[in-house]
Amino acid sequence: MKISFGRIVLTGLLVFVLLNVGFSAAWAQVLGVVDITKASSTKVPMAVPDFTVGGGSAKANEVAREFHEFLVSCLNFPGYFNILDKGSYLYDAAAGDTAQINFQNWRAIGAELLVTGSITVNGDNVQIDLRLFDVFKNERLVGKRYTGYVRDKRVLIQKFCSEIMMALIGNKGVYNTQIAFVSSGPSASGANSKEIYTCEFDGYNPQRLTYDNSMSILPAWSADGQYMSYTTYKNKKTDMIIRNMQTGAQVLVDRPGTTIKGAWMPTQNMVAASFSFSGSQAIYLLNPKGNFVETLVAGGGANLSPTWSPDAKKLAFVSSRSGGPQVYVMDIESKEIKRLTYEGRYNTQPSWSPKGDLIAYSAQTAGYHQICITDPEGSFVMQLTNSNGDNECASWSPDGGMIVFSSTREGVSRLYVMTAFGAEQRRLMRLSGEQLSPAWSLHHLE
Amino acid sequence: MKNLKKLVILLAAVLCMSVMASCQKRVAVDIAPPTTVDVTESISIPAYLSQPIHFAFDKYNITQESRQILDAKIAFMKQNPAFVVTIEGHTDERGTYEYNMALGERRANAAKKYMVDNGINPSRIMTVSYGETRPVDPRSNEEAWAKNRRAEFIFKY
Repeated sequence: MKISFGRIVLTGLLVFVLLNVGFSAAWAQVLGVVDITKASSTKVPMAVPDFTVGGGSAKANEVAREFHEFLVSCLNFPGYFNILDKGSYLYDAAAGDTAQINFQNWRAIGAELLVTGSITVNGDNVQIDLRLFDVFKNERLVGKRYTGYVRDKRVLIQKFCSEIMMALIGNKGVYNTQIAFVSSGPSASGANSKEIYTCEFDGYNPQRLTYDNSMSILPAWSADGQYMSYTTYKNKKTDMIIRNMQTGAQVLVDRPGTTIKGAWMPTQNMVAASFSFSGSQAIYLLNPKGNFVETLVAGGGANLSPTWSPDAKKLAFVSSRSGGPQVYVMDIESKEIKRLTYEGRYNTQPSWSPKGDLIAYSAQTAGYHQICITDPEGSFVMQLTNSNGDNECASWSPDGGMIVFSSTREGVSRLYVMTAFGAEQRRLMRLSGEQLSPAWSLHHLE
Repeated sequence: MKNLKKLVILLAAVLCMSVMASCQKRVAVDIAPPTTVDVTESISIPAYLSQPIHFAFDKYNITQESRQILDAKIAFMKQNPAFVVTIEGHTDERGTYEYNMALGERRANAAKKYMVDNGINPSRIMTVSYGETRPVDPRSNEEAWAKNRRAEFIFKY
């Protein structure tokens, strides 16, 4: 991993802070700002023993096993926790509440957090009690009872995982979120076609969204998930579509020239997107009806690929104003523009973390594009990917702890995820064809 | 006289039949839908018109070689005022997706500007950018990239 001096200092400081403060609820609150999402090398050890099963039928045992397996896979996914090997557990029945648990047994194996579950299966119905304990403080942090159908496994378990994240870092994490992306393969509408799909946070259940029999590309979610904008070639040119995700109603923004990618304001349902009807790519603000409200960035060459700071007071974007493409940051109120990237000649696709502290982008290095992060002042650069292939189009998870991106490291472009600091890079899904342009939703499904 | 009468009747009959025939013919033509496909196929588009122009990496300026290729298209459009052209801007795979869409657009616009500056009415020229999505050579080497950094010209009557 290529690093620059500023990054060593930053990472060193974080590791120092994490090593010197043991885990506790207070720790989570105090360090909520510098939270465990940054502890790439110091995962919190967590024990997740098998659930106790009410009824004891073979079917109930199987349901319990499947629920437990999915819970462990959910907790493993973001890379915050080190789920301890079940073989090391001294005690396996874990039905009770604080009074029944011998926390010493869990401290002895190195656990800091303990998750227990008890499940009762009655036909197609399931009732599950799930609890999160702080093993050092002998304290229950979360206790929830869920009832539903057996087939609601993914929904119920993800709800509980969101509760865990709320208790530990103060937001719902990656659970019950969606990722939109572009796929070229499975659609039956011709070799040159691209359609937009959505899947769940872990790549599960990809669903085709567009049937334009054309190229539909560059999806962007509104912060509340009500709208998605994308670019379509269905009229043999580029138009922007704003789709109401609840009703399916669509607005076509049909202007001369090329329109590229939109970015929805985190604070209200307005979208910044670039159009070239003035002669060159300029960034405008549109409302969900497709009306142009304001010109945000114009002049000095092509301006495109906007991304908002979480408070919507700043906008990062790509511009060719200094020759090759570089990332710039504009203050919305003063309109003052500062160049953010200086290393290399080709820096594009900025993506502002929902936490506000980092901006990811694609940097061309030695022939390939690699995902890098910097802060909004550009005071350090950290390269997160280093594979033989292009790594592009970073999009942050809503908690700022993970990044989804596309990569050609295994041949054709596919989707991958990693932690905010480049750890645990792995392929998101198995789907035929080519996948690109991932966009992680900020909203959580209920 | 008898023969003359016969001749007049015969001529009248032939005339009548031919008028009826032409009437029928005219009616038939009017009813038939316009066959635009046949019309365009009947006018041949010279092969040299589809010759693309090429660009350097991250560049959109028109080279000397491209000017000659464009001049031939301009001459054709001046001689055939019913033709319109769509210019497609393309890039190689090395840039990133969105910036390549902007670059493809600038390539198409540069070709359009050259043609407009040389007397072609801008209303006869459409542009569209496909960025990196439609390579002519899918390989990942300099030879393929050079072929893929291009503007293509689709003429229509």
